[in-house]
Amino acid sequence: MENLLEIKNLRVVYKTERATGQALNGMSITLKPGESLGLVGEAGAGKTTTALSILNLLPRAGHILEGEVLFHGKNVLKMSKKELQNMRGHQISMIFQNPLTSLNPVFTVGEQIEMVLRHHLHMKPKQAEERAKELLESVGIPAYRLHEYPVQFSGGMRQRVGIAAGIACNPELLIADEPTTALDVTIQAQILELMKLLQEQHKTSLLMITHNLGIISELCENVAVMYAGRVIEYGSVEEVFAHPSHPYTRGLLGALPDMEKNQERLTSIPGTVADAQNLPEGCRFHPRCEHCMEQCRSKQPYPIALNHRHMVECFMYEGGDGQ
Amino acid sequence: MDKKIILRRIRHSRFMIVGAVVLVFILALSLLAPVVCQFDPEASSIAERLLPPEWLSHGMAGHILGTDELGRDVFTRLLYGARISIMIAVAVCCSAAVLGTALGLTAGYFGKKVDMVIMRAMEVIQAIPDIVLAICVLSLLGPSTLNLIIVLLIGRTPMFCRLARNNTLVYRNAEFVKASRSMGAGRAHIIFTQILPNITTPLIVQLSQAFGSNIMIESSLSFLGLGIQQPQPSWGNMIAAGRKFLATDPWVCFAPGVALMLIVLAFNFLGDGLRDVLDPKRT
Amino acid sequence: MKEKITETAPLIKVEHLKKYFDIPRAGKLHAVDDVSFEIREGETLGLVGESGCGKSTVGNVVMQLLPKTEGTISVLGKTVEAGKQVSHDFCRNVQMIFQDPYSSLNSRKTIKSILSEPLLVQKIYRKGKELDQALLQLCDAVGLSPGLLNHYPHELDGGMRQIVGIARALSLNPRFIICDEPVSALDVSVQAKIINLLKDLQKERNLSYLFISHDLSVVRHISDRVAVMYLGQIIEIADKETIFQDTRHPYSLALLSAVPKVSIGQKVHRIVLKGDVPSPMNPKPGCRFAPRCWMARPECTGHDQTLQEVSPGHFVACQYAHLSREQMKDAATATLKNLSVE
Repeated sequence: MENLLEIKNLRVVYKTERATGQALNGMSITLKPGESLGLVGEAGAGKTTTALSILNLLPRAGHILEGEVLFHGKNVLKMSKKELQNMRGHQISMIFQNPLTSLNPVFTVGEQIEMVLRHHLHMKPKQAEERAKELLESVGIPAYRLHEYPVQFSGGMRQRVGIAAGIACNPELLIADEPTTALDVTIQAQILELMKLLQEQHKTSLLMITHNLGIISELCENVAVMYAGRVIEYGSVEEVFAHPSHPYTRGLLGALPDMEKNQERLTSIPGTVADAQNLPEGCRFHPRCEHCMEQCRSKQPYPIALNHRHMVECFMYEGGDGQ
Repeated sequence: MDKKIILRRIRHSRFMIVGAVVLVFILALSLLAPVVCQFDPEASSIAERLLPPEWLSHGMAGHILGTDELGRDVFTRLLYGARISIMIAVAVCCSAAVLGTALGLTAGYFGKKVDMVIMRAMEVIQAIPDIVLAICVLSLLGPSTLNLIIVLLIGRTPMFCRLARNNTLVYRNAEFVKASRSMGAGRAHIIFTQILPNITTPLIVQLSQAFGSNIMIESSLSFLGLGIQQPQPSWGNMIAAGRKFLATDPWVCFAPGVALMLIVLAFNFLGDGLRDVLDPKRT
Repeated sequence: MKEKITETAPLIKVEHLKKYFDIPRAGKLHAVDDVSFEIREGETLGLVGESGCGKSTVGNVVMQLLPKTEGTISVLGKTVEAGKQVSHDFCRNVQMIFQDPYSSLNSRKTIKSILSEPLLVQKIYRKGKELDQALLQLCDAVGLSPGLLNHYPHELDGGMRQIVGIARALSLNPRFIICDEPVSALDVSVQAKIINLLKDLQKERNLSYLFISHDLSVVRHISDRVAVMYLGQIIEIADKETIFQDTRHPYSLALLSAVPKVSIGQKVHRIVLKGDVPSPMNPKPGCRFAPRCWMARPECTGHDQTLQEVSPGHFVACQYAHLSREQMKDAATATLKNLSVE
C-alpha cells in the first residue's frame, strides 16, 4: 500500500540567543492509510517538533537542515502557501495539548467549527451549521451548545470541541499532540474512548504523540520510541511492549510503576535526558546505557530489523538476531 | 541571569549604548563643571550681554554657546543647571523607588484592606496631573529646592508602588514562598529575602525611565517659575528667560532646549534597552 | 513489619478537618469537608483524587499554610494551634515537598542559599563552617553533588531541582513529610529516580509520608495505605492491597479502571463516567458522587454517606459497600453504554 506520510531523515535545529538545540537528528517514520502510530518519548525528545514539521508550522527559531516530509508523495516542506493552507485542517488536522488555549475565546464553538467547514469545504452558512451540530453530537456534546463560548465549557468538553473541529473535514491524518495530558484521569478515559470510537468509524490515520505508554498501548497499532530526535525503536505495539529491545525502551517500561503487582524498587535510567544543545557523539543514549560498547561512543547506530514488525537502532543486535 | 548573556545583549543593543554614552558624557561634563568652565554661572556682566556663540574659536576660554541677556555664559549655566536637575532627579527617583516599593510590597503581600487603602491613595495621586499638583503645593509652600523634591516625590511614587504591588502579587503565592513559610519563616524574612529579589528587575527599568520624565517635569516647573529660582541656573528657567529673545538671539533658548531633549531621549533609550537586556523570557 | 506499625501510636492525626473558601457573591467553596485520617510512624498514606477534589488543600492546611475552617490536627499527640506563622516546633517535625520543581525554588538564590534557609531561619546554625558541614551531609543524604551548591536553580534539570526540594525538606530532620504531587511534573525515567529516593530515605530515617498524587500507579507503588478523595471528602480508605484488589466504592473503581495501562493482548474493560466533576460550591446533601454514579438510587441523595468499616481498616462511604467489585462492574456494563454527556 502507498504510504500516506513519510518522513525521511529529517534534521531540525532551534537557534536561540544562547545556543543551538538539535531537536531532530535524522528522524524517519512512515504511516500508511488507516494506520495508528504512537510516538513516545520524554520531554525534549522531538515529538512536538515532528508534528509541527509535518504541518510545516515550525516556529521562527526552527530551521530544517535536511530531510523531507512527504504527504501522498509530495514534499510538505516545498509546498506553496496555498497548497499548505489547503492541506492543514483539511487533509491533516491537529488536536492540541492544551484545550484552554487552543480555542479562540471570542468566537463561539459553533463558529470555530463552521469556520473550518466553510473555509475548506466551501459550505454555505446553513449547511455548515447543520454539519457542526452533527459533529458536536458525534463527540458527545448536545447540539444546543453550539452557540456557547469556550469559557462555558470544562477542560474535557473543550478537548471534545477540539476533536470535533479536527475531524470536521474528514482528514486523512489526525495528529494528536498529548491530547489528554492536561485532563483528569476519568475525563481522559472519556476522551480515549471517544477517540477509539471515532477511529473505528472514520478509519482516519492517527499520529498519537504522548509520553504515556498506557495510552499508546490502548489506542495504537504501531509505536515509535523517540530519544534525542531519532526513532530508536519501532514496531507493532505488541512486539515492542512485549519484547522491548533498545535499552532505553526497556528502561522506560521498567520505570513505570505497575498497577497490578508490587515492586520493591523501580528501575530508573541513570543520568539525565540528553541535552539537545550538547548531544553526545555516536549513539545519543550511550552515556546512560549499561550495554555501552566501544563503537557506540563514535558511530551512530543504524536501524536493524529484528523481524518484519520490529526495528531497533542499537549495535547490540548487529549481525544475526541479537539475543 | 547569566552575566555573559547580559553582556552579549548589551553589545547588541545599539540604542542602549547610545543612551548610556550620551548620559555618561553629560554627567561627566556637569560634574567637572568647575574645572571645565572659567565663568561664574550667576555673575552678570551687562557689557557682554547676548553675545552669539563663539563655538570653539577661542577654545574653552570663550563663550562657547554665547551669553544670555545678563551677560552670563550659557555653556557654564547649562552645566551647572544639569547638576541641579540631575541631583533632583536622583534624589526624587531613588526615594520614590524606595518608598513606592515599600508601599507596593506591603499592599501586595498583606492584601485585603491594606491593599485597598494604599492603592486607592495611589490612584487619587495619579488622578491629579503632576503639574497641577506641583502648582498647588508650591504656591502654598513657596518655591524651594526641597519643596520641589517633595512635590516630585509624591507624583513619582505611585508608579513604583503599582509595579511593585503587581509583581508581589505574582510571587506571594509562589511555591517557594510557601516553602519558606513551611520552615517557619516570618513575614519580614519572606518579603525582603524571598519576594524583593524577584521584583527588582522591572523596578530598575522603571527607575531609568523615571529619571528622564522627572527632569522634564522639573524643567517645566522651573519654566513656570515654580521650581529653581533665578539666578540659580536650571534648564527650565533658562528657556523661560530666553523666550523673549527667541526671534533675535535664539541660542539662549536653543541650548537648554536641545540639552533637555538629549537627556530625556538618552534616559528613554537606556530604559528601553534595559528592559530588553534584563528580560528573562527573551530567547 | 506490619504488626509493628499497628502497635505504634499515630504520628499525625487529623480529625474532622474542614476548609471552606468564601467566594464573594457565590457562596462557600467546600474544598475539604470533614476529612479524618491518621498516619503512623514510618508509614505512607497515599491521597488520590482528581483535580479540584481538595487533596492539595488538605496538604496545605495540615502544613499550616492555609488556616483551617474547623477540625483538629495533632502531631505526636499535641494539638497544633494556628498562629501568624508556622511555629518552629511544628516545622521541625513536619515538612513539605512541593509539586512544581520550577516555582518551588527561588530563581534568584543559589542552591546553597536555598538549602541553608531553613537552618538559618530556625537558628540551628549561623553562617560558617558548621553550616557548610551540615549542607555537605545533606547533599550526601540525597545524592546531590556538592559542586552544584553554587549553581542557580535554572542551571539544573527538573529531577535535580526536585532533589533539592527534597533536601530542603530534610534539612530540619522532620519525622513527617507532606509530598504534594512531587513527581507529576517530571518525566517517567526521572520520576522513578525520585520515587526510589523517597523510599530509601523513608527506610533510613523512619519517615512518614502523606503522599498526594493523581497518579494511581505511583500511589500504589509508594503507599502503605491509600485514601481516595472526591469533592472534598474521603470516600474510601484502606491498606493498599485491599483498595486495589477489593475496591468497594464505585468512584474508586471507575478511577482505577480509567488509568490507561500497558497491557498486551488484553481487552480493557473500562467504566467511563458520565460528565465532569461537579463544582464544590455549596454542595447539596447526600452522596456527592451520586450524580455520576451508575449505582445511584434516590436514597443516595437523601442523606450524607459516612465512612463505614467493611473489614478491619477498610472504610467506605457508600451504601453498596457490601457489593463485590465484580457485581459493581456488571452493573456498570449494563448501564454505561453511551458516551454522551449531559
